[in-house]
Amino acid sequence: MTDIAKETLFLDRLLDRFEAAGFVNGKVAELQREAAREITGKELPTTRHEEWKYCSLKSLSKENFVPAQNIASPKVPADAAGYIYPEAEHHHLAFINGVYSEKLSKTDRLPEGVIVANLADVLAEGNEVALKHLGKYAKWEDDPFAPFNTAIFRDGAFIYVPKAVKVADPIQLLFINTDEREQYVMTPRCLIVGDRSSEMTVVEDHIGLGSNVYLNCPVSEIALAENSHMTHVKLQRDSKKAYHISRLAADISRDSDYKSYAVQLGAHLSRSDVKAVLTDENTHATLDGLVMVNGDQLSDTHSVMDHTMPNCTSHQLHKCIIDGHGTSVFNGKIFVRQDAQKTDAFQENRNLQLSNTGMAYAKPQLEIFADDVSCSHGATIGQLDKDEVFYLQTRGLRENQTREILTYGFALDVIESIPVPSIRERLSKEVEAYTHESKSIQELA
Amino acid sequence: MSDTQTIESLVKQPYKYGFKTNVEYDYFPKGLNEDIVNMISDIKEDPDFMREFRLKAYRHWTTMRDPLWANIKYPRINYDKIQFYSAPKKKPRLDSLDEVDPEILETYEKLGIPLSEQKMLAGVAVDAVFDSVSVATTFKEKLAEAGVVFCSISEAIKNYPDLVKKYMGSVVPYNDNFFAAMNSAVFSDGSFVYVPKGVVSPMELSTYFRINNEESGQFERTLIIAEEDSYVSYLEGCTAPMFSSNQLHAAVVELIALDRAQIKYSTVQNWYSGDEKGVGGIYNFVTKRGLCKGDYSKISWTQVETGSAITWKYPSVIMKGDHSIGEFYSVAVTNDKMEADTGTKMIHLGKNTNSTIISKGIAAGNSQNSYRGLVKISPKAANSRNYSVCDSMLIGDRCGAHTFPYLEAGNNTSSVEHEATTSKIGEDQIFYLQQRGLDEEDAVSLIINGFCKEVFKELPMEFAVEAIKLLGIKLEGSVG
Amino acid sequence: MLTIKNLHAEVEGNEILKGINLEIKAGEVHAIMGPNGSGKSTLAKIIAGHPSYEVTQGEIIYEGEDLIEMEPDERARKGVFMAFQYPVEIPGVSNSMLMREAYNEIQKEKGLDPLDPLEFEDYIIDKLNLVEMDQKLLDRNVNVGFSGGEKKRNEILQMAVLKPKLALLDETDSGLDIDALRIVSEGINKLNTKDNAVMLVTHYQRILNYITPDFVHVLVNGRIHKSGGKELALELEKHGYEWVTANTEVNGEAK
Repeated sequence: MTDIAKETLFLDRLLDRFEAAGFVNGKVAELQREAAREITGKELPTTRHEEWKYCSLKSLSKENFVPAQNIASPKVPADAAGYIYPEAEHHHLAFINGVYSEKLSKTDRLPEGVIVANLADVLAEGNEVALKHLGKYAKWEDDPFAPFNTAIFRDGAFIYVPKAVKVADPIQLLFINTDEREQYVMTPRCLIVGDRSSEMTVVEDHIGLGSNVYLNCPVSEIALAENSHMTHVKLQRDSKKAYHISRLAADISRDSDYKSYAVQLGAHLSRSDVKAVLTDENTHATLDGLVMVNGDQLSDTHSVMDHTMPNCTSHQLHKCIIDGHGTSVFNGKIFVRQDAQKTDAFQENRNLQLSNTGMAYAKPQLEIFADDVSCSHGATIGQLDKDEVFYLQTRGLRENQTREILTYGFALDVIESIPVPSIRERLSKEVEAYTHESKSIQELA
Repeated sequence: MSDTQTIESLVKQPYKYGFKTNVEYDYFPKGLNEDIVNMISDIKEDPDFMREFRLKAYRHWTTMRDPLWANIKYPRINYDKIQFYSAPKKKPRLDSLDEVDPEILETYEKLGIPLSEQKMLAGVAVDAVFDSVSVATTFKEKLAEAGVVFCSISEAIKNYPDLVKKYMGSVVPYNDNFFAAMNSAVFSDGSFVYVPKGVVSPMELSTYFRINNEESGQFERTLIIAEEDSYVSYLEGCTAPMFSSNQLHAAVVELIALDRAQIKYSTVQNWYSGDEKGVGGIYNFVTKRGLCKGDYSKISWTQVETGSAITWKYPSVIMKGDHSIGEFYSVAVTNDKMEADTGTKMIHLGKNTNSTIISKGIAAGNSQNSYRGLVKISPKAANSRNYSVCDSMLIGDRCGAHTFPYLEAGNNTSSVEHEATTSKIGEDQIFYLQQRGLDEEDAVSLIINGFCKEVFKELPMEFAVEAIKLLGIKLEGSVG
Repeated sequence: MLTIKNLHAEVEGNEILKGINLEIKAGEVHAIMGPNGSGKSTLAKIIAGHPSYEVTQGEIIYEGEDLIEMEPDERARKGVFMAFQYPVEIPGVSNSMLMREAYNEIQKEKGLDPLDPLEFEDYIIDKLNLVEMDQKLLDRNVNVGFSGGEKKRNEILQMAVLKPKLALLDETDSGLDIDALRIVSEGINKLNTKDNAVMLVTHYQRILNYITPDFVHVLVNGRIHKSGGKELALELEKHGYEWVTANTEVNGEAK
C-alpha cells in the first residue's frame, strides 16, 4: 500500500533524493521547509485537472531522476563561452545543469550599485532586498512545481538595479544543460528586482547540448518598483527529450512597463506558467510568445494577465507553429478586477498547423468585472494562406521554399519585437532550421 | 440622474409572467429512487424498453455528482425535496381542447399563446406543456396531411415506439451528464417531431413550457427527427410563476438530421429569474444536442436567454455527415443576481463541415454572464471551418462577463477563428445618439438591438418581435 | 439665435467655465480659440447638453428658449448640432439607419412626413458629394472602423443631412491632414447660409484659412479674454496664447 502511494507521489520521491540546500538564513530555510510540506503527499496533476487538460505528465512520472549536482564532472564543452551573446559580453551568469559556474560568468562594467550574482551567495550574505522579495510572487496556489523548486533550489540568479539606474546592455542568464548518461533534475531560481525608475534587459537562455532526458524546473520572480522598465527575453532550447516546467511571476508597480518575450523551441514536454500582476495605475505589460513544435513535442503555455487597477494596458501576441506530431496548448487568462476601470487589454493567439498529425489547443479566456473597459481576444488555428503560397509559386519558388518563407514570416512578428539583435539573428536561424534547412531565407524574404 | 443610473433603472423591470394558476395536481412523493422511477413508468404506461431506459439512467445517475466546473454558484440542491413528477389533475387523455382545464387555457391566454385554433397565430402549431405534461397540441390534422408528426413525447412512445427506441438517447446518451441522466430517468413529457423524407414542414412548430407547481421540477424531453431532404423550424418558449423558492428544470433535447435535412431550433427562455436579491427563480440545467447524421445536413440553434436564476446550457452540434453545418446564435441577458454559464459545442467529425458561433452576452445588476464554448475539429474532419464571435456588454460596475472558449484542431486543412470583445453601454454613446435627436430610451434600445442584431435576424419573424420586446422589458422599459 | 450670459459650469466639482458671455446671430461664424484645457470644448458640450457637466450659474438662451433644462435630444431636434471631437463608435447600428432615424425625428418635430428608406437614399446621395464620401460608408456601423478623417467627414455629412440652425464644431480640424481639412472646410462653407450659425471650436489657426470667421474669441482658463475679427486669429498664430493673457482687455470683463 505504502509502495503504491509512493509510486504515484513523484515529487515526494524526487524530494527525498535531495539534501537540504543548507541555507543558514532562517527565513529562507523556513520558506524551503514550508514548500516541502506543501508538496508532501501531493500527486502530479492529471489531465482531469482543468489546468492540465491537454498536458499529460504520465511519461514524466515514469522517469527516474537524480539531482543534477550529484553529477561529478558534467561534460562542459570547451567552447561553452560561445553561447554568450555579444551584447552581454560584460555581464552574464552561467549555470551548468543548474549549478552556478563562476568560471563561465562575468559581471564587470556594471553601473554602480547593480548586483548580478549567484542567488545562493546573495542569500548566504543576507542581502535584504533578496530576502524581502524571495518567494513573494511565485505563489503555490494549486501548482506543485513552484513549491518543488522552492523546496530544493540552491543556485540561481539575483539581479538588482538600483534607483534611476539604467543597465544599457542586456544581462544574460545562461543555463547550459549537458549531455549525460544519468537523468538529472535541476531547479534554478531567478530573482530580479528593479528599483524605482530603473531600466534593464534580461535574457534567460536554456540550452540542452545533447538529446538526453532531464527535468528543468526553473522559477523566476520579478519585482518592478514605480516607473521602472524591464525587457525579459526567454529562450528555451532544451534537449528534445527533456522536460521543461517553468514558472514566472512578475509584480508590476505604478507607471512601470514589463515586456516579456518567451520563445519555446526545445523539450519533449514544455510547460510555462506565466503570471503578470498589474498592481497599480498606469502599468503596462507585454507577454508575447513564440512556440515551435515538431516530432512528438508538446508545448503548453498558461498565462495570467491580472489587471487590478485602473488605466493599465496589456498586450499579448502568442504564436504557435505545429509540425509533425507536435502539440501546442495556449491558455491565456485576462482578469480585469472590479477596480480596474479603463483597462485596455488585448490578446491574440495564432496557431499555424503545418502537418496533418499535429494538434492545436487554444483557450483564451476573458474574465471581466469592471464595466468601462476595452478588452478583446482573438484566436485562430489555420494554415498558410493558399493565395500567398500560390503567389510565391508563380514566382518560381518550390513548394517547400514557399512554406519556409511564409512560416518565417509568421514567426517574424514576435521575433522582430525582441530588442537584442543577436537574439533576433539566433532565432531567425532557429526558424530556418525548424522549417528544414533552407537556403538563406532572409535573402528571399 | 446620471446615465448610468438611468440605465440601471431601465433594467429593473418587473417580471410579468409571475402569476400562479390554481389547478389541482396529482401529487407524488418527493425525492428520487427506483420506486419513483417505476411509478412514473406506471403512470406513463411505458413499454418495457422505456422502463429499462429509465432504470438504467437512474442507476447510473446514483453514481454521478453535480457538475461543479461551471462559473455559477448556488447552494447544493437537495434532490430528496424535489417532486420529480407533477401533472395537472384532469383526465388522463386529452382528445380535444375542450377537455383542457379552463384555468390552464386561461394561463396560456395570459401568456399570449392562445391554444384555441380560431385564435391561433397563423402558421404556428403549438404544443403546450404545463408542468411536466403536455396539455394541448394544435394544428395536428393540418400537419398530419403533410405527414409531419407533432405530438407529446408520451404519445410518441405509444404510437411510434420504433422511432423513439431508435433515436432517444442516440444523441444525448442516458449517462451523458448528471442532469441528462436524471432527465432520462424521470422525464414525464415533452414534444416529439418527425418530418418524413422530402417534407418541408408547412408551419412553424412551437412548444410553450410553463412551470406552475412550486415544489416540482420540470423534466421534459424533446426529440426531433428530420428525415432526408426535410426541413423543420421549431420554437420553444418558457415562463414560470414567481416563487420565493427555486424550481429545478432539467430538460433534454435531441435533434437528428439525416442527409440534406435541416432543423432550425429557436428558444426564447424567460423562466422566472428570482428577485433582485436573488430569492427564487428557476435553476435551468439543460442538455441540448443535435446530430448532423447525414451528409449536407444542417442544424441551427438560436436562443434568447433572458430568464432563470441559474442557466447551465450548451446547445451543441455534432457534425458527423460530410459537408454538414452547425450554427449557434445566442443572446444571453443577466440581471440582478442571475448567473448564466452558456455556450455551445461544435464537434466536427465529417469532412468539409462548417460551424458558426455568434454569442452576445449582456450583464447588468449584480449578475455574472459566462460564455463557454468548445470547437473541436477531429483529425479526420478535413477542410472544416469554424468562425466564432462572442461579445459581451456590461451595464454597471457590479456585474461580470467571462469568456471560456476551448479551441481544438487536429488537422492541417481546417481553420478555426475566434474573436471576443467586451465593451459597455457608454455614457458617450448615449449622448452621441441623443445629440442626433433620439431620446434616451430609443438610444439604449438602438444600442442593445444593434449589439444583438446578428442573432435576432436568425429568429423566425414571430419570435424576433417577441424577443426584441422581451429584451425591451428586461433592459429598457420606460425611463424611471 | 444664441445668447449666453455669465455661464459658469463645473465637472466633478472643478469649475471649468467661469462666466462666459457670448452672442451668436444667424448667418455668423464664430471661432472659439484657446489653449488646451481652456474650456473651449466644454463650452460646446454644455450647449449640446453633455450630462457630465453641471451648469452652476448663468443662462443659455437659444431662439428665445432656455436650453439648460432641455435633454440633449430635445436640443438636437430644435436644431442644435454638435460635430464631435472624438466621434463615438456604435457597433451594430448602421450609419444610414441612424441618419434616417435622426432626420425623421426632426421631420416629426416640424410636423412633416418622415422619409422612407428609398426616399432617404435619394436625399442623402447628394450630401455625400459634399464631403467626398464613399457611399459604402453609409452601410457600415456608425464610425466603426472609420479612419480619423472618415469620422470627421461623417460628422459633417450628418450636419448636411440634419441641416441644423446652430452647428457646434468641436475641434473638427484637429488630427486632419491638409486634404481632409480642405474637404471638411469646404463642406462646412457650403452649409453655411444666412439663416444658420456656426460655432467653431479650434486649437489651431489653420482651419481659419478655409473658413472665414466673423468673430474670433479667445478662451483662457474658463473666460473669454479677447474678442475680435478674423485678424485676431492671425495675431494669435504669430504671438501664441500668452500674448492674449498679457494684453487683457476683455469683453467687458476684468481679468
